[in-house]
Amino acid sequence: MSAPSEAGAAWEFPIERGKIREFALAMQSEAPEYLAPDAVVPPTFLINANRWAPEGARVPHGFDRRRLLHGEQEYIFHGPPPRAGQTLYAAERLAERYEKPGRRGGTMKFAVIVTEFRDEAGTLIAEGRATYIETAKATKTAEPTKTTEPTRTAEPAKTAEPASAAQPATAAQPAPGTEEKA
Amino acid sequence: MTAPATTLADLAVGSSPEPRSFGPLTRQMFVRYSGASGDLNPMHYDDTFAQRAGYPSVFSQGMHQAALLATFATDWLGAENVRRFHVRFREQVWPDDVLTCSGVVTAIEEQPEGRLVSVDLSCARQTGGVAIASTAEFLLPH
Repeated sequence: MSAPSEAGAAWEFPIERGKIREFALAMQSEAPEYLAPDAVVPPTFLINANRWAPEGARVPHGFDRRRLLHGEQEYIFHGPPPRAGQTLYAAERLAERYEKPGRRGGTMKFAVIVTEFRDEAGTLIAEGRATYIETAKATKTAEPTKTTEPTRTAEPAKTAEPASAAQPATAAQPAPGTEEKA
Repeated sequence: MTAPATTLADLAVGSSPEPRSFGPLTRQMFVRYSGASGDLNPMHYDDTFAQRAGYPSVFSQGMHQAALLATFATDWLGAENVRRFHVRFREQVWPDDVLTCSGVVTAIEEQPEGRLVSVDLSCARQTGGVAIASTAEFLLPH
């Protein structure tokens, strides 16, 4: 387990009313708090910062993309959520790495990458904590060009529904962020 | 919509709002979330891409389901009151799925600025399988 030492450079992340309204529509919310001129951000809105990270600012989890899952995501607000019109500065750091034995042998690796959101004065406003998992056995990849056959259903799916037979047995989502590789 | 203040004043451990269903989910909803979140992974709107990777079709972003659960949570406890929102991704969610969001108060702690309300939240598929298991904290001002 390596020491949590890596940290990336900060980037500007303006909180925009129009983007909040667009996000509220996608989350099927009609709450007036998301529509007002000084709209607050929804609980998971800060995921948007990822899109605007400059080259090299993201802290690498270092995992094999074919075995990569986004296992958990958390947002912590150190006060009321930020509002439209505020400018935040996002910066990532590696918070934690650990391992667990896989259910069927091998080792599952975990990395927790924290995005810190600070205001212009440097005050910590919010944090995002993403837990990435490299599975013990290969699951499906988000990049078809690299898919090799053993990645498919290394373990039986848990539910009886036909569609789920193609799911990775590890309960998590393929990690986002492959847009450039599409 | 946001629950009436009288309801929030009556909150106690075990309090649970009426569950809310979302769906049947459509590909348009996945696309809308892609744009709103800035995550343009084609796995969630390009069936050819998804099938080439071995999936039967596109599927909903885990963070899309988390956002629907966030709608349920903030309609209940107030958008300005959220202080922590944690999700664990479990089952995948497919087009035409119907998701049901539910929640229950697990703890209430009196603090100088208000009551810190801890909740367990869940977003389940029509099969009963849990897509998202969540915990959250809301600070309700006095």
